[in-house]
Amino acid sequence: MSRIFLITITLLTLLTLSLAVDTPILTAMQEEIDRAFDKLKDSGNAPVYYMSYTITDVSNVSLLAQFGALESYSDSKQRYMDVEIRVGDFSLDNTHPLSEFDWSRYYRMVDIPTTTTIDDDIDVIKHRLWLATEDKFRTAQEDYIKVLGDVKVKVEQEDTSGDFSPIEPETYIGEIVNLEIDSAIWADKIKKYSEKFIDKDFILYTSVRIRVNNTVRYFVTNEGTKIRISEPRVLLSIYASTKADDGMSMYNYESVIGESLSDLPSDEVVFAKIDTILYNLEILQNAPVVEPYTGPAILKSKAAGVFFHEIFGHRVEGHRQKNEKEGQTFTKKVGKEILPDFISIYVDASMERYNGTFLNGYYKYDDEGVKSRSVHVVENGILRNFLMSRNPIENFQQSNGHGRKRHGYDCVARQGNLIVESNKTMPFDKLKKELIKEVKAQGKEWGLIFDDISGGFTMTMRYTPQAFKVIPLRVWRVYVDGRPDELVRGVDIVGTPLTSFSKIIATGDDTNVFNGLCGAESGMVNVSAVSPSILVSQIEVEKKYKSKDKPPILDPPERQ
Amino acid sequence: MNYRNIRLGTLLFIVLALLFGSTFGQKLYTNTDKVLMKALTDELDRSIEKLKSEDLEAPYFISYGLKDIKMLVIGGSFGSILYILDTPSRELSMDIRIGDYELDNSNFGDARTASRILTRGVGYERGVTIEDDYNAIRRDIWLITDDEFKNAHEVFASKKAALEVAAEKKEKPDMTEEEPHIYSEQPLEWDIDSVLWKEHVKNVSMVLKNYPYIRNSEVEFLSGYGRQYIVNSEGTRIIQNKIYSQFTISATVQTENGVLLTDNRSFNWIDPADFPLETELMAATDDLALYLKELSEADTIDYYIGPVLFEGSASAEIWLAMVGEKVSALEMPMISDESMKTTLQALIPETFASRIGQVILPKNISVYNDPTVTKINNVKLLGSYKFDNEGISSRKVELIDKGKVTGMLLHRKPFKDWDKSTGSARIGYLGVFSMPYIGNLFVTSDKNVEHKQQLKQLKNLCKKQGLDKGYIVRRIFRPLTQSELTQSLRTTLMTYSSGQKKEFAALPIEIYEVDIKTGKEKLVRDTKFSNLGTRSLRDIVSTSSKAGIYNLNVIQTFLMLPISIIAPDVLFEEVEIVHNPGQKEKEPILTSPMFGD
Repeated sequence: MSRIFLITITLLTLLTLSLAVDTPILTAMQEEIDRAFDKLKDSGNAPVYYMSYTITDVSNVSLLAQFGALESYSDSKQRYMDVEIRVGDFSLDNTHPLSEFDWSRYYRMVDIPTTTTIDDDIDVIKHRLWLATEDKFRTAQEDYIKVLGDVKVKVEQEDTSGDFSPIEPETYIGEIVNLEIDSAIWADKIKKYSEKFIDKDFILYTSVRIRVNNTVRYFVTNEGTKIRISEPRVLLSIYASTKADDGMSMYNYESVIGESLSDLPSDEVVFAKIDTILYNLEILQNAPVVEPYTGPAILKSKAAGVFFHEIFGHRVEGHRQKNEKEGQTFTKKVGKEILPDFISIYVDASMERYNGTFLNGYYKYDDEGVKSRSVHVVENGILRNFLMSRNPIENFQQSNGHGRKRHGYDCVARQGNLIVESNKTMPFDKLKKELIKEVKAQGKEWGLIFDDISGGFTMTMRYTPQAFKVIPLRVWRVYVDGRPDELVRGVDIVGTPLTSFSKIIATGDDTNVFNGLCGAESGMVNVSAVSPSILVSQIEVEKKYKSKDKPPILDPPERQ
Repeated sequence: MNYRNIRLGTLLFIVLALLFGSTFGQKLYTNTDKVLMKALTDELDRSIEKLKSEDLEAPYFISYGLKDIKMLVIGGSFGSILYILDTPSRELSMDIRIGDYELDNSNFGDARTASRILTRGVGYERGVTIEDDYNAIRRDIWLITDDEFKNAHEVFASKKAALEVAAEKKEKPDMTEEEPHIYSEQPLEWDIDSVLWKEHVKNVSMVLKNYPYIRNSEVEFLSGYGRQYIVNSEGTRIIQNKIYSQFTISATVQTENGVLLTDNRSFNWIDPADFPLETELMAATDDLALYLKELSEADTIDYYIGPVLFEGSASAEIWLAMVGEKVSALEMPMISDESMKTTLQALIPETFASRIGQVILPKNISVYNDPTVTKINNVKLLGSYKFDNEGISSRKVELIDKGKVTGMLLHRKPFKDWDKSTGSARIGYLGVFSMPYIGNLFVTSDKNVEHKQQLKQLKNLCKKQGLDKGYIVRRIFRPLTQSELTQSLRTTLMTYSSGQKKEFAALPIEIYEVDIKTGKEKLVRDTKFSNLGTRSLRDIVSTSSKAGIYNLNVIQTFLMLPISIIAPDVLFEEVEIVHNPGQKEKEPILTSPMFGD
C-alpha cells in the first residue's frame, strides 16, 4: 500500500516537473518583460518601476437549445493580452486617480481587448507584447504628467497611502486542465431537457445552455512573479419565462457552475429543476401582485448570499475606502460593530468547495499574482478588515489577494467567495415560525419569504443614492392566520446597507451556495456567496418594472 | 389590394401547397429548404389572417427574410494564427405593416423608436434555431412577429398623432405596390477546408517575417455562404444564394517621423473554385512589404491645388464615394422629435435627391446601376443579385444621363415621382428593414480618351495653371481586416459623435507627383483630399477609354456588402490635396524582439 502511494507521489512529481519546464509562453513573457524593463526603467521622463504581462487563454464551447431544438452553437478560442506599466514610484504613479473625469483613460478602458496568437509561437507572442508595451509606456508617461499636475493644484486626499504596495514574488506553475465535452452528446442532452417546455403554452421563451470555458492565465512581473493557472468552468443553465395578462414578464432560472462535468447534476435532478421552474411559472402567471411593503421577511440562503454580496461585499472592497467619490460606508468603522454580534463574515477565494459544492469565486492567485487566502472581514459583528488588491489604504498597506479583473480591464479589489457564518442558527421551520411571530408582533397580516433571486446591484458612489436592489425570482407570502403560503410577484428588494444590517434578527442552519458572475469597474469576475437564511424584522420591497406588452395574441403555432 | 383578396389568395395557396407537398410553383431543393419555407409561409399565412385583436387591426403586409449562414474567418500574423471564427447562424428579419400602402407605420421616428433601436442594435435581424426543426423555427417566428406587430401598432398610433399636428401634409404613399415573385436557386457547394486555409494564412503571413521593418501585420481569410429565404404576404417566395470569399494581407510600417502607414492587398472571389494560389498570395505579400518600404521613405507634401488623375481602383473609389453613395433614395423619415432629427441628419448620407433633373457631371458621362449583369470579360461581378432583400427583382436603372441626374435607387418606399421599387433594397439601416444601395455601378462616357492622352491632358492643364507638377492617385485605402475595420469604425463613431459630416474621408495610399517637364513620377505620402464634393464632379476633364472592373467589399451599417464598380479613370481639373498628419507615434524605444537590431 505504502509502495503504491510512493509511486503515485513520484509520478505526480514528475508530471509537475515536466509541466514546470514546459512553459514556452511564460518563458517568452519573462524574457520580453526582462528585456523591456531593463530598457524602459531608465527611459522617458518618469522611470518605470513596475511591469506585468498577462496572457489569458480563453476557450469556449457553448450550446443552447430551446423547445427541443438546437438554437445556437459556438466554439471559440482567443488569447487576450494585458500589459501593465507603472511609472513614478510606489507612493505616486500614473494610475493615481485624477480629480476630474479623464476621457482618455475611459476610452482606453472600454477599448477592444488586445489579442495575441492562439499558437504557441514565441516570436509572435513577444512581438505583440512589444507593441503593446510601447503603447502602454507612452500612455503611462502621459498619464503621469497629468497626475503630477493634478496633485499640485488639488487638495490632498484624506487617505495619503501610496498607489501600489510591494509584495514578495511568487512562482506557481499549475497544471493545465482542459475540460472537453462531446458536443453531439450534449446537444442531444440539452435538447432533451428543453423538450420539457414544448407543450407548456404559458412558456414564451426558454433556453437550456451548456457552456464549457477553459481559461488559462499566464502572468509575469518584473519583480519575479511567474504564474500559470488553469481555471476551467462548466455551466448548465435553464431559463424560462412567461407573461401575465397585465404584461408583466416573469422568469425562473436555475444554474449549476462547476469545475468539471462531474459537478453537473444528473438528468433526474435537471428534470426535477425544470419541473420546479414550470410549476413556479404556471402559478406566477396568475399570482397576485404585491404592493410596496415594509415588514418582516426571510431571505432564504441563496437570496441572503446575494444580499450580503451586494450590500456588504462591495462596500468592503479596499479601493472604495480611499476614493473620495465613493460612499465609504465602512471606512471609519474598523473595530466597530456593523452587524449583529452573531454574524461573522470571511472572504476566502482559496476555498474550492463548501460542503462539497464547487465555489465559483475560487482561485489560487489573484490577477496581481498574490496568493488567495481567508480574510476575516467581520468577527462577531465587528468590522476587522477590507478586501485588498495592491492598492494600499490607510492601515491596510498589503494586498490580501483580492486584486481581480477581466482581461482588458485594470485591477481593483473584488470579492471571491464571501462566506457568512452565524452562531445563532435554527432549523428553517423554526425560522419561519419566528417570522410569523415577528409579523404578528408588528400587527401585520403577512410576511414574505424570498425563496430565490436572480441577482442584484448596488450603487456605492456619493453622486448616486447609495442604495441596493436585489431581484427576486420567487417570493412567497406567509400569512399569520394559517392560510397556505402564496406565491406572489411584482416586487424587488430595495434598501440602504446600514439600516438593513440592523434589522437582522436570526439565521437558519441551512447554509447554501450562490454561484454567479459579478460585474464592476474591473469587468466580470466569478464569485460565490455562501450564507444561511436570514430573518429580518424589516425589509422594503418596491414595484418591479413591467412591460406594457400584452401576452402574444396568437396561440403558439403548434396549438393552432 | 384589399384584405379579402389577400385572404382568398392565402387560402388558395395553402390548398395548393398541401396538394403539391411544397410551396406552390417553387422548387425546394433540400430538406432545409422545405422546413424553412414551410415554417416561414405557415406562420406568415397564420399571422396575416389571424394576427389581430379587438383593439388592434390586422397587418396589411408582412415580409420575412431568413438567412442561413455558414462562415469561416481565420486571422493570422507573422506565421501564426490569431483567431478562428466558425459559427453557423440563422438570422430573421421582418417587416410588418399596419394600415395600408398609402399610410402605414413605416417612415416614422420618435424617441421611443430611437430607444428601441438602441436596445436592440441597429439591425433588425434576430437569431433563430440553427436546426431544421419546423416547430422551433415557427415558434421563433411567432414571438418575433407578435413583438413587431405590437410595436408597429404603437408606432402607427404615434405617427397618426404626429400627422394631425404636422405643418406639412403627407404626399407620398408609404409603400409601393409590387408584383410577387417566385424563384429558387439550386444550393451551392461550400466546402471550405479550414485546415488548408489555416495553413495558407500561416504561410502567407510568414512571408512578412522577411521584412524586419514591418511593425505589425494581419492576414485574414474570410469565406461565407448564405442561403436567403424571402416570403411575403403578397405571394413572393424566393430562395437565393449569397456567396463570397476574400483573402487580405495587411501590414503597417512606421516612418522615421513616427507616422504609422497601413496598406493591404486583397483578393476576392465568388465561386469557391476560383480561389487564388498560395504563390499568388505570397507574391502579393512581398509586393505589399516592398511597397510599404518605398512609401515610408517617400516625401510628403504640404498643399496642392490643381489637376489630379485618378487611375485604377482609385477611380473606382472616387466614383463610389462621389456618385455611388449618393444615388440611394434616402429620405428623412417623419420625425416628431427635434433633437433626434438633428442626429439623424448627421447620419443619413447626402444624396442627389435635391439634384434630380440637374446637371452634375460633364454631358458626356452617364451612370447606371445594373445588378443583373453577372460577368464582364470573364470577370464575375460581386454586386450581382437576382432579387433584393424585399424580394423585388433587380434591374438596370439609369441614374445619370449625359451628366443629368435622372434616376435614383429605390426600395419599396415611393420617392419623388417614382412609385415602384428599383429592386435595390440591400441593407438594413438603423432599425429600418431595408434601404437601397448600389450593386453594379457602371460609369460610361461617349467622349473617352486613351491613357496616354489623359496623361498629356494632365500635363497641359498643369502648364496652363502655371504648375510644374501634377498628381496621379492610383489607390485609395479601403479597410478590410478585423483590425483595420475596428480602427475605421472607431474613426467613424468619433466623426458621428462630433456631429461632423465628412465629404470624402477615404485616404489616398498610392499617390504620385508627376514632373511636368520630364514626366517622371515620384511616390509621395501623408496626403488627404479637401473639399472634394459633388461640386467637384463638374471639374472632370476626361475619362479613359478603358473601363476597369473593380469588385469591392464595402461596409454598410456594420455589415459587409459586396459591390462592383465598372468605371474609367478620371481626370479632374482641380482637386485640393492637403497634408494629412495621420496617426503618429513616437519611435519605439525597444527594437522588435522578433527582428532584433
